[in-house]
Amino acid sequence: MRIFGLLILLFCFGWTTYGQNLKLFGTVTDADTNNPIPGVVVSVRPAGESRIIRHAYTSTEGKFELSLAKFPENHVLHFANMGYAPKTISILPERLEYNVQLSMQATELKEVVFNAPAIEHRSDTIIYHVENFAEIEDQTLADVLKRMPGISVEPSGQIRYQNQPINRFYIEGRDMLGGRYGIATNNIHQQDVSSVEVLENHQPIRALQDISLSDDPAINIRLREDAKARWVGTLRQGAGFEPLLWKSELAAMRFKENTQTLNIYKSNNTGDALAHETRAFSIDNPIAQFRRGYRLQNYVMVAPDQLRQIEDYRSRFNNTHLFSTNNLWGVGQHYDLTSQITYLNKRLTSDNATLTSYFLEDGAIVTDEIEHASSHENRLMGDITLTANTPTYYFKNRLFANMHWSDMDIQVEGTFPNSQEASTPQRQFSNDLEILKRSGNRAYTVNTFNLYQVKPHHLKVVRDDDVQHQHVETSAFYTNTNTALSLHVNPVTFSMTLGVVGVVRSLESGLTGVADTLGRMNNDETMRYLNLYASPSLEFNRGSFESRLNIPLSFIPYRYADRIEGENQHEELFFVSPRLTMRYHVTQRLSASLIGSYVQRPVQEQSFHESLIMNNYRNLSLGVVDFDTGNSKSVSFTLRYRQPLRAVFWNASLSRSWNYSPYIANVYFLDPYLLNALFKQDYNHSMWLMSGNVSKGADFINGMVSLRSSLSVFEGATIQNAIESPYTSHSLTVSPRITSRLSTWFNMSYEFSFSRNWLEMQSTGMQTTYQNYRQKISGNINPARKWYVRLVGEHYYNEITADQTKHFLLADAEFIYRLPTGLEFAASVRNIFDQDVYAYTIHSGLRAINQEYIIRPRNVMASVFFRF
Amino acid sequence: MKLKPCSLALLIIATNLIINSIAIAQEVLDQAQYRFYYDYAWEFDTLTLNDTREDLIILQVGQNMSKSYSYATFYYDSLRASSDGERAMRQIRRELAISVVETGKPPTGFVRGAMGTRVYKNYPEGQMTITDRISSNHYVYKDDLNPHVWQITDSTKTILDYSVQMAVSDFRGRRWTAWFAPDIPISDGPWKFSGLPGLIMEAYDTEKHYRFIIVGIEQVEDEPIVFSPVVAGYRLYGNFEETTRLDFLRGLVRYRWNSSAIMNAELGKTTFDETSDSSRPHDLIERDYY
Repeated sequence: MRIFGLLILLFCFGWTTYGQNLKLFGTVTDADTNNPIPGVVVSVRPAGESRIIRHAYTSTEGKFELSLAKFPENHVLHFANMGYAPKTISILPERLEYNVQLSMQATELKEVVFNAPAIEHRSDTIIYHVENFAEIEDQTLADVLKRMPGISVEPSGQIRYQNQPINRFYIEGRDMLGGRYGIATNNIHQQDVSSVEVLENHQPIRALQDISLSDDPAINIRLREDAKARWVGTLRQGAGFEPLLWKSELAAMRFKENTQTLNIYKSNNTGDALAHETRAFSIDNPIAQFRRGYRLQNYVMVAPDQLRQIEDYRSRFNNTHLFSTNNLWGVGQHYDLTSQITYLNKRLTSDNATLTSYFLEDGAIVTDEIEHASSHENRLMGDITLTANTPTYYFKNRLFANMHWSDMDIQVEGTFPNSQEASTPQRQFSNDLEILKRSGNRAYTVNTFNLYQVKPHHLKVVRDDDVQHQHVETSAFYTNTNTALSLHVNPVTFSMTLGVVGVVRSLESGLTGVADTLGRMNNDETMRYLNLYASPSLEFNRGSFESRLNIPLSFIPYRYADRIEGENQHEELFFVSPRLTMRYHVTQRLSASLIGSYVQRPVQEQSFHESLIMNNYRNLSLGVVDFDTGNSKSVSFTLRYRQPLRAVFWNASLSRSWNYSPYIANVYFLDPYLLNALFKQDYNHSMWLMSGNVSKGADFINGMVSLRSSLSVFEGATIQNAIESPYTSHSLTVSPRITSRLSTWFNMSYEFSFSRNWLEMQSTGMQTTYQNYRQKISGNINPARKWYVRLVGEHYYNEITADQTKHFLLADAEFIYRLPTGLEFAASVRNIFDQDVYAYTIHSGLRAINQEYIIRPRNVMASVFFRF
Repeated sequence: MKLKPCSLALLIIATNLIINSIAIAQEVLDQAQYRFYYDYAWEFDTLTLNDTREDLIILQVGQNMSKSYSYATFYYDSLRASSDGERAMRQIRRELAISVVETGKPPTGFVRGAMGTRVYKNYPEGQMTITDRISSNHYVYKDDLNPHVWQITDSTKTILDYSVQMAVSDFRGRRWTAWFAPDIPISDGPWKFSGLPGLIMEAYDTEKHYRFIIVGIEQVEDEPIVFSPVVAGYRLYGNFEETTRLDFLRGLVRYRWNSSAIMNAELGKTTFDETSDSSRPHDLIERDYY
């Protein structure tokens, strides 16, 4: 019984404890209107303090409820809401209900004045700090640029931001290199760069800064303080074997406040190309779009067959030296003077064998040649540019000289054995002047480009029984002066380029050692013409629809004089080539575009030679003096879908083109020559091109999966021995691909590609096909910061003939050990399996060409690299 | 009733003015009564912690809803809300171009708002609307209003002469500490923070990757809170794409890791070397997207 009582006592005690759980409640209303006030903060605070122990908000009916463990001694209930005067009530021991009225009062906060920083320079700029993107294997600025989100570097070296090519490349705010920024990105060490600034919507011409909108981005490189105003650079020295290999690269540069200089010297015989470093990327010309150049045709065409199916370095047997110096001097506040001088010395050798089958109506002709070629090339280029860039006018003058000496020696065995020596030098001088003057809200521009080019070429062919000599001297003077204007009346923009082009070209050639019966052997002619052109373009954008119509118009009077025959021909022609592009954004993700164009081909005035010219030991060509031209019409439709959030992208396109030419290429088989002549006959050929690509991000492998495919169909004809042979050629390619970053220290990519080609001759029903498979796998392993390994494997399976196929396995490995000071040791092996030959077959016109190339054997290299 | 030519002309002019302002006007959501400025600092590389970015965040508090956004967008908003917006902006750029020439320095630019996120709380009622971007694509998604679960502690200190009290919360993968002012009964804060019985004056995560601290308090009148549209280049163009919070975060992480692969996919060819993508993305402010 006592236990029961004890239990009851405990129970009551327990009850009492729970009973002490306080629930405070009440209603808060407006003192004037008596309406409930929702959202009032009701808080329990120690008296005199701001600290909140517990709180609740009033409901839409103004009611609140607060639970406390026990009665809080010396605490208050605080009621506050913006727009009302706060109220405080002491919490009393026995009181649970608290109904309160609040009076409206503007809540005054103690203001704290903050002066927002003045927005001084409002270009849209994104800054990437290099040290946060650079990885162990990165050396040059180009290596790090590739890692910055939004920035991509194409294999050619062109930099894009958000898929748009940049329109300027600055170093510390100055444009020293013009379009040749490859020299900087490939040679400036990433540890000398502090940040990369992307200037979106960059208008490089100050005078146009608020009247011409720019969609293009630009990049500005900011160097680290310790890399400025002193000589910095890098040096790499490597050696290897089979045979003796070397590689030297030195880059030295200094960037001061008003002068900049970047110099490089590179040389190797490891197959690596150097010429691309000084390549100029066409920087978008915001003033006027016009073709800056005229190219004299090469009549002597002696060149070794080039292998393009596998990476260049595998088949290039070279000995190359490159030297380049680039300088900038700031002369005055708005004037910059820059210059560049480049010298390239290149020797190449190659060995290959070719079996060519020509399909004729009455059978096939097969020829074979085994070729050993060696060439020696010297190039010297220089330019000097003066630029003035102020808010009211812009001036830029570039003087450029390009001298090129090239000698080629080719020994051929086979069906037509011979030895060729060709010398194809070239000299070119040009001047490019741009002036822009701003007046109020309009800008007036004039551009004038002048070029002089001369090519004195020579070819000698020695055969068992005779010798041929061909010399061809061509020269041209070209000038193009134009202006541009534009008018914008929402939503239409009208712009027009007006200009005059003048050309004076002369050709003088002579051939000896070939039978007279084939044709005339000497040419001496001049072609002069003017091109008065207007290129209007109309742009219409409204909402999701964008369209652009270009209608280039040209009026060209030609004057042709043949000094040998003593005849002159005059002709005046008028050309129109409209082009319409329309794009419609169906939804945020899907867009469709339709492009249609009609192009009138220009007169092939460089084929105006009625005498023979020997191009190489096998080909002779005969031109024709005729002012008829062809045209082409094309239509293409593309659909594009992008869902970046789920990393889904696909696009599909279909295009069709119809081409008409008043001539058709005719080949006469007159052993040992092929005589290429133009036959005056209407020739129509057409083409279908279809492609489809799909990509999807795959989170489980942390990468992407994609599939690309394309199909092209060509219908045309060729004339051989004066007989027309119509034919159809199909080509299909399908390539799936996976890239994956399986962990932070390993990433890889795998690609497989299948291609098939069919050739069908309509009249004989002859068919020939070939197919190839290719796979490539590459991976980077980087387990520790100091060293990493790169592996590449390529496998090719080529169908050489119907019953002959070949496998090729090419593999490379590279190992790099890098110390934090910047010193690096590298070892690499290329072509680990020591493959010596690469063979494949392709179709070209009505020919099947089977080729075999000698490729570089296993090359082992070790090199040291450091920066200073 | 025949319209006199004079009235007709006036009607045309008036219509043009109205159409003009509608075309450029933006959706006004509320009228702000207070403006709070926060300094926002964040670590771009959460592995090495030596690249801190800074930005200024503005919190506009109105009667019914609030908006938190980056200062860099401030000028765009107020200029474009006026019918003369485009012309006024060009004028500013022109003057700046001249001043650049006069000071002899090339355009260095103002760091673009590091936070492209704009948070509209209680819009629509009971929810938050967030707009943000990945590269040049703009997205909008809805989130819960007051998603934090706060534990209020006893610690107090002073910020800008206001007494503040500490609260902690485990929010979407990070442990946050916030200091709120009981004397300012606005249940709001920078970015997505809210739900405390006072204005949040400071907030940071325990790893100090993200920090907000108040630097200014202002009372305002007749200041509209607008829903900022997508601005691409110089033209008002494009719409927000609707999505969900988790899809957006995953897309953002994927972009930071794989921008070359994405670029290749967009172009439909393998132009860019995908093995060069960064292997060290920084962690997002919300980490629960796995």
